[in-house]
Amino acid sequence: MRSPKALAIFRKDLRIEWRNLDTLPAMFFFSLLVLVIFNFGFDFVNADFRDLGPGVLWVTFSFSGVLSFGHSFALERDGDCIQGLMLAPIDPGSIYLGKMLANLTSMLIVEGVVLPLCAVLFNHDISSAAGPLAVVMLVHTVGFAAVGTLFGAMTARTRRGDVLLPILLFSLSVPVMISAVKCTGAVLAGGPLFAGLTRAWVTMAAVFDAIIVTAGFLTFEYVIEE
Amino acid sequence: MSTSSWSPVASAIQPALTIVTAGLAIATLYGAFFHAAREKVMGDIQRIFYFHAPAGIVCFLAFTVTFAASIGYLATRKKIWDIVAHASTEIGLLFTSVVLLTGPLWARPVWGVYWTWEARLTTTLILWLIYMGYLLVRRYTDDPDQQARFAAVVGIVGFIDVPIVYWSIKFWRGLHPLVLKASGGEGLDDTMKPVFMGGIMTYLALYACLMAIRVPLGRAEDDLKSFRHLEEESHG
Amino acid sequence: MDEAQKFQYLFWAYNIIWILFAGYLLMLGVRLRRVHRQIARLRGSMGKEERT
Repeated sequence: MRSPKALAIFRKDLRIEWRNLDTLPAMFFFSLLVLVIFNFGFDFVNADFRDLGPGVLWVTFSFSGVLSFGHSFALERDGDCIQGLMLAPIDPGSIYLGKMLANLTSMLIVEGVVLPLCAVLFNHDISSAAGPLAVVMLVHTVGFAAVGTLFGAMTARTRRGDVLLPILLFSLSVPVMISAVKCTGAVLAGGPLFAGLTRAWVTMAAVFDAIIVTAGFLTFEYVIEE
Repeated sequence: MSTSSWSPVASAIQPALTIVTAGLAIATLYGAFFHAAREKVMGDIQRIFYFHAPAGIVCFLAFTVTFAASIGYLATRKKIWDIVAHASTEIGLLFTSVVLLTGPLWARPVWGVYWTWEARLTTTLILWLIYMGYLLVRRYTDDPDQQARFAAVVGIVGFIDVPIVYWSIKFWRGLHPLVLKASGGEGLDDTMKPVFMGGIMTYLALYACLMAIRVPLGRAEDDLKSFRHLEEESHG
Repeated sequence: MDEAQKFQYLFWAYNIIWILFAGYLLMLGVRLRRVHRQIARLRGSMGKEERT
């Protein structure tokens, strides 16, 4: 009976977010701001979306992800809810999975809005690649969410969590970052998703996801223990 | 430097280790400059290889020790495992820094660039960043038990991450021509191989030697910290 | 790049190793001294408590 409990945590977090709208708007506006700054750095009008887009998008997504991961546990810490969660008959692994799903959902919602917006800002039509793009977003966001949830829980309890989380997240998620940029580029260029190099990249990202989710599931109890 | 009061074993073997390390280092230095043949393509600058590549090999060993000791700590909760993991990370980072600084100084005269985003180089840089993160986590966590647990999780997950990082960067760069075939040690002739082995032995001995200093130091620091903690509790 | 210039790189590559290790040993020495000082201070304060 592992997954229903993880789902309960997931639903709880989504409900809190839905009521308070604490993080999603911040993530969204922050993403928008990062895009605006990138525009000044790279000049979107004269640039080709297929060249710059993948990098710009994934830097934006991972930056806004940090907001979600950091908040996810600050929420529990500030309300002294960790003890409550620990006392509840839920194993730590399920808490991790539930939290990860909630972070994943937040990131995917933001990505779903920012990706089309970014395409519009670049004057590029992405509708033809929408299906493969969705798969690429999902596979790679799981990797970021898996790393971010584990270390977000850890750094929320340190003195300089705001600094530590990005350091750990960005150095450990290098493989998904590379793969995400490669796959997004290939798909935007009209290439097939499940063929050749792109398939190898997606497989690698999926393996990374599986390994990190497993590692997080197993080590999470040591992170939230009092 | 006497560490005798808290770790008799380490202080007993430490002088011997120091002598062995110094002897190996002198022999390897001699070998690197006088025994090993002059590399045909790169010339004398290749002589840094004997102290560059072995540092890379031994830094991986150090982080493997961190990984094993981190698991040991989470499984047994014995503080010594945490102290070993911390010590090994520090020394591993020192060796990684050697690799990262000697690499560019070798690359510049040979390829004309200080840095290339090649798989091995880039992975070493990421490795350095991950384990710097490990030290930062320790620094910014106040509670000693929490500090040890958090560090152990970073030591485990970081170590698992490294092969994937290497593979992904290799695959990413694999599409481009390899700039750097020659650094792999494929072109070692019979005069170079023993010197290369000497380099590895030197760094292994140096690792053991530094651990024999650093682990007792870590224990002493830890004892003092818990003693002061007790004192504060009894007075406060 | 002539040979003399190449040797400068080799020279600095070797030196940087010495500098790094010396720096680390120096840091360990400082930490060791601090530990010794603290132990001495604790011994002193314990002796005082015994006498009073």
